[in-house]
Amino acid sequence: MKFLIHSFQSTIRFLLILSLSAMVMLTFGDVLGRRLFNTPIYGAHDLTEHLMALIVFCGLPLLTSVRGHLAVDLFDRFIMQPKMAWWRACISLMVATILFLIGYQFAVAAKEAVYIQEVSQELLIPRYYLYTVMSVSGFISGVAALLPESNNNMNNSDSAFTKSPLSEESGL
Amino acid sequence: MMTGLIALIAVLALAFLRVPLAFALLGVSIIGLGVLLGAESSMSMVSMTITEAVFSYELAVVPLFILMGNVLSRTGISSDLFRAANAYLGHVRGGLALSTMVTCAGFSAVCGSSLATAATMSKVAYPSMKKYGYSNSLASASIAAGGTLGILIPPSIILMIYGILTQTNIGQLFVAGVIPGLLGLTFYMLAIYVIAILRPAEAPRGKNSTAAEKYSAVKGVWPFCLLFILIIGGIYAKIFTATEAAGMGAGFALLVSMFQKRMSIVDFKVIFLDSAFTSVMLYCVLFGAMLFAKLIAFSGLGESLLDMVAQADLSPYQLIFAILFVFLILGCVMDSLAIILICVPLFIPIVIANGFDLVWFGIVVVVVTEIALITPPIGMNVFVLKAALPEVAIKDIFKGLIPFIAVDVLRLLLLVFFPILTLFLVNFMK
Amino acid sequence: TTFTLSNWVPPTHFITTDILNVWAEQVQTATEGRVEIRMLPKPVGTPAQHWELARKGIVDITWGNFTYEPDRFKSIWFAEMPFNGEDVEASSVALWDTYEKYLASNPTYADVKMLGVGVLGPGVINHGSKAIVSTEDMANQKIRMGGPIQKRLIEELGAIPIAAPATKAYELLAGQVLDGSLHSLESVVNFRLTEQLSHHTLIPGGFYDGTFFLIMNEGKWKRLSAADQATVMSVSGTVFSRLWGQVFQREIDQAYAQLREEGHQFSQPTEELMAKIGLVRQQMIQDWATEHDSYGIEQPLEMFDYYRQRYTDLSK
Ligand code: NA
Ligand code: NA
Repeated sequence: MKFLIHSFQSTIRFLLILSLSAMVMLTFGDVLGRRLFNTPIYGAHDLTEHLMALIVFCGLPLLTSVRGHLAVDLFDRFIMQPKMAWWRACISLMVATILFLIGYQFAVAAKEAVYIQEVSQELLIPRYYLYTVMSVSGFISGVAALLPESNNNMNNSDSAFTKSPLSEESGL
Repeated sequence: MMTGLIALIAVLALAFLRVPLAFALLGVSIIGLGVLLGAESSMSMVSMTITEAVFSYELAVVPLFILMGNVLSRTGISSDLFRAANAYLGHVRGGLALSTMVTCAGFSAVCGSSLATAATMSKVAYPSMKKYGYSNSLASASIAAGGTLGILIPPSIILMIYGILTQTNIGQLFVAGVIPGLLGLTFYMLAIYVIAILRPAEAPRGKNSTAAEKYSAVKGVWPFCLLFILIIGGIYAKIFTATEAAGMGAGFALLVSMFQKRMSIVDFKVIFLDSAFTSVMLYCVLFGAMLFAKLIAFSGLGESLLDMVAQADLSPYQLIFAILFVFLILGCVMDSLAIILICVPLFIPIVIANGFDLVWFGIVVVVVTEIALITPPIGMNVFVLKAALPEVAIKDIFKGLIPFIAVDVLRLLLLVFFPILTLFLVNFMK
Repeated sequence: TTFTLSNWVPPTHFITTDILNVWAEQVQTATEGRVEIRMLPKPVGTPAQHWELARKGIVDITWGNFTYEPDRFKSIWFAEMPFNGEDVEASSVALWDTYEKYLASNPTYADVKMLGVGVLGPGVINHGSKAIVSTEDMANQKIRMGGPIQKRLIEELGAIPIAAPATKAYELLAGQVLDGSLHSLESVVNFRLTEQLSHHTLIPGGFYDGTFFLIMNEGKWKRLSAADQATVMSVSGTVFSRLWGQVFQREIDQAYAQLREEGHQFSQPTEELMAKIGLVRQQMIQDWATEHDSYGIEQPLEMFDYYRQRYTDLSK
């Protein structure tokens, strides 16, 4: 089981790195192509949007499992006390409910996208595919919100998800 | 209107009770919209709003700017900058603190975030200042204050979010941030200089640098200068849109760091994952904020506020100060991103109705939230610094920040009363 | 009853002030205040989402462009073809008549009440630095476009299509991402592109056209009494389409006069370019007609002929 979760997480990380690199290369290639050779990449914007959707919904389960969502920690000293455990459980439940709702709504959206022939603006890629990914991601994230916080220290060499100032804070 | 007001209070309450901001916004909006429109409509708005945010090319820039900042901060460019600034400024009174400020401003020019700037600089500049006998208070306060330059000097993630929320041209916002940012730098440096004269013991002189040292220090910062010219010059000369500048910047930063062998494969992985991670978190908050903005639109709260303002018969400036006051108060207890996401949709109709420029308003709002980053009781920059420097007392940092806050208020007043300071370059660009 | 309306152009845009507000007022007056329309302070979705917003009943009334959803409304593509005519009022009313006769019962348009349709008016080839008169001039130019018909036209004429909403044209032209952009003359002025687009090639009959809808959630519509429904329709439907066409025509004429005055260059296409556009048009219509099963219209060419006939009857 542990092995399964670990390889699942590794796959997602790999996908994240791949999507983000692809985004950089796409913009780079599009601008250079247009400036230097007068040949922009048709659909570059469209692909970027798809990659972004992939990044967000691949990252969502991981972010949820390490409790990485932006939160105001003003009253932490009070809320982190053992006697406030019930409230922290309520929070997890609320987060999970909303994530399940997102998963359900995207399942509905995927079904409708087929019916109304929803496609992307430039490349006419059916929305159905990504809506399905988003739905699945919503459900997995909901489960992740209910499971205990994952420390994610299985592999120290790529411990990007351990909390550093850059990722823990809003960074903004 | 009541639904809107209750929702606003509920979001603030839940956020303070540590419900992640994204989910406080989403939860309250779903319930609020359910009350106004029925459960089915409310629920289907969730997926439509997320689709709207995710499939937006404009927003896709955010990860690219985050990536660029992360690449540069992990590859040691900040130390190079500090070395170069120090070679020229180190020997004057308060020289190390002055160098810190210049480095903060320089680093801000490639990094979109205040907290990242403060966190990076605490590692780079603090040890040197301690070595030369600077007081804890001045050393840490100058880093905390310098960090706030990060979100004004472009690129700036907050300005980008503001631009997307208010449909203001992001390129113009970036260009508008330059003069106020440099003004901030000048004021901070003046403050340090005055402190160094009044209390020389707190800020001793550093060592003199030889011509050779100066030369070699400057040689280290050329990639950084190129990047700055590429991004700001590119936007200003209209060679790139803001979106493209982000992609070019990230690509270029990666190329340079690979070329100079500043990055291992592991670094590469960590940087990419970190950037993706931060972006996902940001997007989640945005989903919530966008849905919340729709709840506000349906609830009619904005229109009621507009009526109230019309009846109160405030002059436009009284109005702006009232709005800024709200931002400042919220800034004492909340993070700037949260404030902008929650409050800007509420106030924008009033700002437009009173004929204020949206680019100018964006810059002023950012300056206010920046001040909030370094004021007690909650100053996020101070906390980041405290986390990086456990030996410094929070009390000392806040004490050291008093002069910086004073010049910040001065700068704010200047920007409010002289919009030309903000709009000069933008007008020139048009 | 108060109905909400989501509008995605700014409050100062002529569609807001001279079409939507005017129509809303007419509805209110005609129903003696029993039906009121409340325009939300901001749009609650992207322009492309506006059909769904009304269909799902999130907002009661929306308006939008049919081809912002590229594949969904294929059955109405005929009205965006080249050479459909320059009389915007006639095109808009002809489209309404065609909709009533052929499309109202089509499942694609289910769950909403169509309150009116309208067209953009003749599409123009606009360029930043040179007059486009031949296919040679078009070769390798980067041209912004906003729909499936426009894309095909640009491609077949040897130019490079770049998809972007008209609202982004300013930034993209300024950044030289684009050499030119497809707009009606009215949009050149209203999107403030006069500085960047100084050359306009007027294709007789229009290079392309655009189609718009004004719809209401059907459930909400059915809650109105039959009498109120009839009263609302007395100022909607044909009347709305006529209003739409008149206002757009006025805007186009004003834009033309203004651009003339500002010294813009207007050109006519060569016969060769016209012939090429005609060829592409033939091909597009044929392809569209053969696909008729996918959008459930038995005799698409009959529908198209009817539309052309109505236009000819209505235009002076
Ligand atoms: Na910055
Ligand atoms: Na504060």
